[in-house]
Amino acid sequence: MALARYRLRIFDGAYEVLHNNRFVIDVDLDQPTMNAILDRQLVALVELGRIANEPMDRPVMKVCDLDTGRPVLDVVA
Amino acid sequence: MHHEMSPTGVAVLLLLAVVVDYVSIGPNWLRDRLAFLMAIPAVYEGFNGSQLDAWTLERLTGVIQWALDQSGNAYIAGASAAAVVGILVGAVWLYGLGCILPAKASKRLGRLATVNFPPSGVWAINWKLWAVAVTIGLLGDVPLGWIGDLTSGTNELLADVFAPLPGFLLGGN
Repeated sequence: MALARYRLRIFDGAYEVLHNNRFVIDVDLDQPTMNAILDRQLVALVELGRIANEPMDRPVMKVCDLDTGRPVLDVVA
Repeated sequence: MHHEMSPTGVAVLLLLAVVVDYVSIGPNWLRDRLAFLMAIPAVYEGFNGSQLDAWTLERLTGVIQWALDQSGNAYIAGASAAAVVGILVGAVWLYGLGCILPAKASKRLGRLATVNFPPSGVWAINWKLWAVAVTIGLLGDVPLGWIGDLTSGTNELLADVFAPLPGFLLGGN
């Protein structure tokens, strides 16, 4: 996959937190640099979840297709 | 009490629920939910109004009454134990509802929808599931008012839904 735009969704376990927000990122999922990029996004989204007073015990971030919203990749800590 | 199923049907439905739970038949999302939904009408039709039901209710009310008496001369000591039992049954019903709802519904309904029955493997009975089902089936007629409508309505709705199933599976009545 070339550089493409994805939507990020952050979950605590099975419950989507911050579901009214729309987090978008441009990343190339074939390059190994994506690991660091997505890790940083995960940390930032977990922090935002905590600020929104949600317990983030088991954070999972899903990288979703921008148009359909279907998950492409799951990222855990 | 008007029975939708014959005693044979109740026994078949109860055993079916036990088998689905014990053998863990079905995919993950269906298995516990199906066993739970079948267990409730089986317990409701089979045991509601029996001596077991009366004994359970009497013991529970006794415990609640003892707890209320422990508070001495506080204002709350005059509370009705039956009403407290009713609200506890309502809370158990709410837990059962959370387990039935799919986790995807949590976006609109909150974290209650993410609650699940504890996982139980093959060749194991899920005791918490059965405890909740027995509570709702036996004590669903205890609360009054809106919560009573929910709990006894659930019992009767599930009895209506699952009444034809034993006839389909094993024939006869």
